[in-house]
This record gives sequence, C-alpha cells and structure tokens, in this order.
Amino acid sequence: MHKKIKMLVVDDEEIVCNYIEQRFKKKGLNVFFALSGEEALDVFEREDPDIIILDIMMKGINGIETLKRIKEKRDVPYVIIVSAIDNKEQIEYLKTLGVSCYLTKPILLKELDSRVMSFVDEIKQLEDN
Amino acid sequence: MRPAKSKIRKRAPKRRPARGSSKGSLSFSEYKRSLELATEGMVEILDIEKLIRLIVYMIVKKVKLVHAGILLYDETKKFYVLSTSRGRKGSVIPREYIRIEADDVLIKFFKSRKNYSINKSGVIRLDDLNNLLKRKEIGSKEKNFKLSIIKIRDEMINYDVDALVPGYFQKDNLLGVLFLGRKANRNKFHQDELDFFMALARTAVMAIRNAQLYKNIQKIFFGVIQAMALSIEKFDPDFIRPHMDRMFKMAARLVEKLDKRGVVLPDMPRELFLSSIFLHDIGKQYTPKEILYKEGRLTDEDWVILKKHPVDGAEIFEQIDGLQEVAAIIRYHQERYDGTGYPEGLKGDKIPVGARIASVLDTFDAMTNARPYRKIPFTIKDAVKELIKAKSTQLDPNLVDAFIEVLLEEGILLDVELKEICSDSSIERLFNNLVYR
Repeated sequence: MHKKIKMLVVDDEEIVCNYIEQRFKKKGLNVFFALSGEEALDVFEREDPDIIILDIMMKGINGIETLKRIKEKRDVPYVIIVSAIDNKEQIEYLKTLGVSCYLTKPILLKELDSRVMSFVDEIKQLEDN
Repeated sequence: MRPAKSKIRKRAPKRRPARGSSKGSLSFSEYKRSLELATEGMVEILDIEKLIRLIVYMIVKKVKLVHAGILLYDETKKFYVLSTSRGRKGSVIPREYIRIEADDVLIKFFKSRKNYSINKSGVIRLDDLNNLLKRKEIGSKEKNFKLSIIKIRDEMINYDVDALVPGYFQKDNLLGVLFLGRKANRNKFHQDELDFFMALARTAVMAIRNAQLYKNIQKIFFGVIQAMALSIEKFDPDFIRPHMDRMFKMAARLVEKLDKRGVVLPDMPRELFLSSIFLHDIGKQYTPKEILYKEGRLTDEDWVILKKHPVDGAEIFEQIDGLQEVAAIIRYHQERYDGTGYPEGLKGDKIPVGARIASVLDTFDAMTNARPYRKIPFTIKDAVKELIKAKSTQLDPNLVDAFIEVLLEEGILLDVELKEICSDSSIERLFNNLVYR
C-alpha cells in the first residue's frame, strides 16, 4: 500500500483553495491549503507535502518568493504554478527554479487534473523502486 | 373543546399539497412567476458583471442548487470562461479560474444543435446522457455521436454539473452555457424545469448581448472623444500631453470631491464629463497660428479672432444629439464668475459647472507652465495665490477652495506653503470658504 499523497494548494482566494481541495480529495489525495505565502511556509514545514499548486500574485510574499523559501528548506520537484500572468520571462525564470508546469488562468481543468495525476503516478513509481 | 382541536389538525396537512410542489422544487406556475420576476428589468441592467451575478444568484436561490455558474464566450480571447459562480463551499467552481476551448466537444455539440436530439428543450441533462448510453442501438449507427456523448458525460461529471443550458443568439452562435449543479435535495430536473431554464437563458442572452453592445459603443464613443481631446495637441501650443494626463487626474479628484459634497453635476457618464472638460480649447484649431504662437501682446484685432474659439468649438458638438452638455462646457469655458467673460457674459451659477471647473484647471495649468507670452512659469505657491485672488472675480470661489484641497491631498501644494499664502494680508479676506487653513 502506498501512503496517501499530500498536496499543498497556495492561493489567496479561499474559494479556489476549497475547490481544489474538494476536487483532489475525491481523487484520493490528502490536500492542505494556505491563503498566503507566509502560511504556506508554515504548512509546508508541518505537513511536508509531495505536490504544491502555487499562485503567483499574492499579498505579502508572492508565489515566486514563497517557492524560493520552500526550496531552501527542501527541494520539491512537483510544483504546479497557476497564474493569471502569461509572461515568458517569468516562465523562464521559474524554469531555473525547477518548475516544469505553468498553467495560465483561466486554466483547462483537464490539464490541471492530468498534471497532478501524472505527478501522483510518478511519486508512486519512485516509492515502488 | 375537542372538536375545535381536531379541526386544526385536519386543516394542517391539507395546506401542503395546495402549494402544488413536490418536495423542494417549484411548481410550474411558480417557475413562470419566478421567471417573470427575474426577467423584469434584466434587459435594463447594462453592467454585465452585475447582470450575470444576478442570473446565477436567482437560479441557485430559486431552484436550490448546490452550485451554478455561467460559462461565457470571451470575444478577445476566443475561448469560454466560467465567469460567475455561486454555491456551496467546495462545490462552487471559482470564477475566472477555468476555461473551455471553443473547439471543445461540448461547445461543438451545442453549436451543431445536436443537444436538441437528446432533449427537446435543448438542455443537456446528465440523466439523459446516461439513459442514452444504456441503449444499444446508438453504438452501431453513429459511433461519433456516441463518442461525443461519452465525452460530454465525462465533462459534466468532471465539473460536477447535472444540467447544461445553452444560450444562443442568432442561429448557432453560442454566447454561453449555464452550468447547473445538482439540487440540494438530490431530486432530478423535470422537463418543465428545463423549458423554464431555456426561457431564462434566452432572456439572459438578450440582456447580456444588450449590455455587451452598450459597453462596446460606450468604449468607441469615449475613444472618439479622447482622440479629439488629444488632437488639440496638434495645433495648440498650450496643450502638452503629459500635463494633460496630470490635469486629468486632478480633474477626476476634483469632480469626485464635488460629487461627494452634493454639487449637482451634469447627467452624463463621469468619463465623458472629464473628457469634455479637456475638449474646451478644440475651437482653437480655427485660430490662426500667428495669434496662437504670438510671443508679444495680442492686438485688439487678435483678441477678436481668439475670442471666437469657444463658440467655434461648441458648434462642433452642438451637431451631435445628446452632447449638448459637452458643447456647453466648451462654449462657456471663458466666462468669468463675475460676468465679465465671453462669449455671453454669463455670471455665477449660470455658467455650467463643467465650464467653471475647466476654467479653474486651465488657469492653474496656464500659470504653472511656460507659455509663448510668458517663458518662466509660476511656482505652485504663486499660482495658488493667484487662484485665490481670482476667487469671485474670474473663478468660482467654492471650486477654487476644493481644487486647493486636491492640490494639498496630492502633495502638489504643501501645508506650509498654504500657511505662508494665508499670512499674506492682501488675500486673507478671500479665505472665507477655505476648509484648510
């Protein structure tokens, strides 16, 4: 048996967090959410999630800064950025931080699902090996 | 006593069926009434966001759904966005968060009107799709159709919706789709209800289209007015675009302040009002350049020609129905509060408020920037001093006071500077109305 996969959702809109939480709970994930970068760092420390879904534009420390600080603690390879900004430079910069998945709002729900689920498969495979 | 008691008991169960609805859902006559109420005045709401919020709110509340949303076509982005949603925590899809491409199976299905073959109302109901898939005969004849049905069913499960209501305009233009989650009491949608939703969608489409067209026309209209205001740059040496941007901001603050104080402003959109304040010199395009750019004093003949510009400018806008107030601002911006201005010598409140505002702003701008006839501009402090001196002669005293407050709030004029101005005994008596001292 695999352990339940943990996912952290960071978005300053609670309605987004609630929706993603509900959605992936149904798919068998253990979902936590944080409404700010600061809160995300706390939850990260406490729950040690496998996957992170991260918004960029947030009050206080933004998504990029949050990611940098998370990466200082531990390298999380499974990060999905969901942002309204469709900026090439920013996407390139996030690549240097090791982010491979960047979804622009409004997103295709199917795309988010398939990205998360492929990460889940990958994590499970790694565990098996 | 006893018989009386039993009477009450008997009456009670009778009342429930009289309401005519099966548990939790509305009867058809109630639906019709709801629809009438909801659609009443819908077409008059010109704010799209407000309108679709109202539609979704109405549906969730009346039909008692777990959640509902409106998927709307974005003409610039060429895809559909779930623009408004409402409902239970966790179920409600966040607004502006998800999109559906224009070539998605769901959209194509609606556009080709195949939905009418599933349910005569045009609504796609999850139950209908499931029933259809149970029947074998579809599979052999129309493979593609079945494939679409499977995909749409999966999408509906994915978005957690029980019914999809299309909103068409003209024949096959799909403006949007109403997403309806399940009912809170888990009852199914009746055929009657589906007809109601379609009727609602038709009205909603009309109202949304109406609001969209209004928005587009307004955008074009403001664009034209702004382009005209900026065209003044081509012939008027006093018109310098960066100053105008700054003056526009100050005008906006001033007008906002006056509005809060209950000053009666013309009945027109704020943006249009502000733009027309900056159109006041548009008539100068007919003034010879030798006069506009003259460095020395103007002769009497020069003045006669220059003084024509308010009327020349106003005449352009007097041609346009509905822009009489704009024309009035232009015509009277050279009037003076004491009645000694031109072209008509109007006095005090007889001068339209827009023209009085234009006069204050223009006087300030003229003093604080270099002009052909005065190479070195006034300091802000000196310009304010002059504005105060012009109270009740050239300018509306209340507007001058309000404008000085804006200058203070914007940090353009400092409190210390105002105190210094106030200490000047020659103008002290002019301070009666000033809030800041």
